[in-house]
Amino acid sequence: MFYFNLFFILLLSAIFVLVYLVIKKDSLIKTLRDEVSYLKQALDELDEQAKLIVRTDLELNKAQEEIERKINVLYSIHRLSQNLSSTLEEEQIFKKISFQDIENLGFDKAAIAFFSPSFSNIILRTVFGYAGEEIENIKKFIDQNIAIFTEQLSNHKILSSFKPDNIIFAETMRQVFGVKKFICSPIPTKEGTGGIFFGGTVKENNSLSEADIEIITIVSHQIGQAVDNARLFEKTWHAQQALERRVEERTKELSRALEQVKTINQRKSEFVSNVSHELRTPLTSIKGYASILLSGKLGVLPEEVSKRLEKINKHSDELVAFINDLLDISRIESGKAELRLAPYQLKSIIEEVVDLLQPQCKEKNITLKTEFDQLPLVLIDHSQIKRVFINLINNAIKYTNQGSVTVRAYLQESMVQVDIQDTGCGIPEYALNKLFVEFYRVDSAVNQEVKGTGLGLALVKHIVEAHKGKIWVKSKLGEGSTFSFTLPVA
Amino acid sequence: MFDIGIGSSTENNSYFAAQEAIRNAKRSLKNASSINLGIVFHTLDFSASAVAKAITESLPYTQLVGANGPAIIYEKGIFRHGIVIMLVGFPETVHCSSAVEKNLRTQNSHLSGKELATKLLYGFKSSQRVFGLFFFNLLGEEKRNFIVGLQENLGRGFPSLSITANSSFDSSKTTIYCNSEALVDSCVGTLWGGKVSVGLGIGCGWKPIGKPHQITDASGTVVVAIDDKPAISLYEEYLGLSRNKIIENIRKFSAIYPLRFGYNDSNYLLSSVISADQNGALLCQRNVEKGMTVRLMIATKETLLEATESAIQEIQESIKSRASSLEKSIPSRFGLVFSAFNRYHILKGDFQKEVTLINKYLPSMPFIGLCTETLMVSSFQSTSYGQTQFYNHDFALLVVEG
Repeated sequence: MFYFNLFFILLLSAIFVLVYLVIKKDSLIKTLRDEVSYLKQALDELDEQAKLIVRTDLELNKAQEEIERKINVLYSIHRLSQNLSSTLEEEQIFKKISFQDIENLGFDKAAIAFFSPSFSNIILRTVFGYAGEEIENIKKFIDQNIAIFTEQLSNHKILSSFKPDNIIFAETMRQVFGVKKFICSPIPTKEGTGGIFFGGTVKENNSLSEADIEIITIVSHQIGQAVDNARLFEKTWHAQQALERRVEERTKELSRALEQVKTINQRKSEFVSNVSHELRTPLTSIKGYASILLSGKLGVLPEEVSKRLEKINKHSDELVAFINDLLDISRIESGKAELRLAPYQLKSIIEEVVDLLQPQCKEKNITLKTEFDQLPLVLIDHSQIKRVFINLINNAIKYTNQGSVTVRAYLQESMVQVDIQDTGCGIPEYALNKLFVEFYRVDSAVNQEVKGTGLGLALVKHIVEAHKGKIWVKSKLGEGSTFSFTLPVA
Repeated sequence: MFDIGIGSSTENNSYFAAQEAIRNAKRSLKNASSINLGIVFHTLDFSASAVAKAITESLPYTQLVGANGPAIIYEKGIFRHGIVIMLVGFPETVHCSSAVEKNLRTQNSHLSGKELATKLLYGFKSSQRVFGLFFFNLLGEEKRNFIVGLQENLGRGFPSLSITANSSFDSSKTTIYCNSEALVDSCVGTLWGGKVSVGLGIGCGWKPIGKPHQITDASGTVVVAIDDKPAISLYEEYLGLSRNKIIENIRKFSAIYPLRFGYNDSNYLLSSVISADQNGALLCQRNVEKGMTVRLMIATKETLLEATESAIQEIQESIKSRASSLEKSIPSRFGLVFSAFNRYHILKGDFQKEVTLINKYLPSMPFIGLCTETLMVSSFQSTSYGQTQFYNHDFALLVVEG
């Protein structure tokens, strides 16, 4: 009985323990299930967050791609523009476009072609992404459809796969050029024929879109502008070359003419010199014999004969003076006249000449004045410059009937300037630039009465220019003239 | 010591560009009459026939391998248009043979791999084999069978790096080179041996985001359903876009947000999606199985560059430790860089920073590289003995020392 009770108690205890363990395990299982469920929920939530992360990442990727593309495009356009404007040779322009530039614009393949001058065919200037037979096929295709491309150029029309006017043609273009999307823009030029810029992509998911048409148009215009500049430069360069050639030819012609003139001038001077020498000899005889007769050594002559002999003497003197002037001019022109240069005080020469010609002024009742301050010494041939003063002051007196003749001298920079001003009849404007030409005399009433050879002013000009000076005249008809010349300071 | 000459060109004309690059490379060699190997990389817009012609004329007797891709890499940066050539003169103690296996589509890929290995070994001396470098122009899983064939003759644990020139996006233009021949549908291999060592650093940068999901229906490389919903719903839920929008841009989205398939965190592979159909099935780059875990991956510029930096630092450390144990002169080295073009979608303008990092940690090391789609790495790490890992979102730097 005892053992039976013990067994019963033990059994009951075991049952209690088992029940307890089962309840505890159940509770544990429940807890574990709850935790697993919680973990699964957490995992799902994390997964949802992961999805958000991926979607955000995708958006960021897309945005970044777009921004990078736009930056690359803008950078490409800027760099392309700089490269294109760095050359003025048409052939070099197309070498300045790189594959990188084409890629940055969003294309995998590109081609630039220009029409021949007669628009009969196309010349492929550069291609990217094409090789060998592909290039030949493209050229053939464009040549076969040249009318369409010519029309595109003239109407500034864009051909593209986005909004094709002619779907079949667009599809053919895609096949020939081997692309999925494309834009074909005209390249307009002002000089010569234009062309087309084709860009395409083989990737279906390439982000090339309608919005890129404007960018491609900008690039096409840049290329067109670069080509225009190159063509204009070439035209200008050729024109300049032609002008330079013409100038060279003309210069040669003028040089030849100048040589001829110099030769003629030299011959003229030699002729004048020879003739003058030949004339002087008999004149000297004529004058000599006239003087002997007038001196009475060969007997007393009747008064009438003496008067005529005096005229012969006087006219002989005039002829000799004329011939001497001619010889002087000839010598100065040919450089044979030696100037004996020495420093002189101009004031003394002027006073000397004024004294000499004062009687003539008194006769005509005109005033002969001088005006000069302190003057530096001048480097001159005394006798020649005295002749200049005599000639010019004499002329002034000759052509002035009333009023005055004023001689001024003053320092003007590194030269001494002399002005001989009169209140005479003046010189007509048409004659001013001919006054210093040999044998020229103004056609006026005064000159009909006043004799002259027309050599005086020419001689004066030669003498002044031989002294490295200049001579000129200002005059107004009826008011008077001012003859001015310059001489170098010693 | 290796005699390295690198030349590049960005000329528009493919033939002149190749000539210019070869000329520049020869100019920077110490002994231009002794070139043992040429490696050429160029971008897809170059004409392969024109490049081959230039190589035939300028390097007629030079052993040459190469490929093209979306971008080339060298010291000056990463370029979407250009050609770069590296000419290498070996010391006598280094050996390298090359061979090609053509018309892979029409042949058994396993047998083709074995055949290529036989050819490589035939031209190779009895020196110790160190690693192999292969360029493929072939789609899909056939590459894996080819490598298995290679490993049968070269050795199951033989380290090799294979680069796929083929692009799912533009397969018509991808080319590989063997000597002066431009090839498609082929594999070109080089086998290296002798007193040469190699290091490989790989960095990814993509991290998983969101909870794991399970493939509930798959066939070959097609993921039909995930969590009993159409596979594309994964992208619909995470991107918050309509199905049509996702289908239209699936390649771009999956390049930025690839999928990670695997059974656990240590054994997985990343894959982009090639296409999606209206039923929501996703065509991927490799085989997937029902029951596999799939997670969406995300990356930022910072994570990608950190991964690149980490890969380069790994190489730098291994170089330093080798250098400190050397008694004689410091060995010469050169690098080959392969960066997945998918990284460009995230890095964009900062893509050049990958080159900046190489120049920072490995200054004065000559290197060239190519943007690729897929790398296949076999047995470079002790943990992956005999296994072939696929990488198509990674940065890889192979440094060869001799």
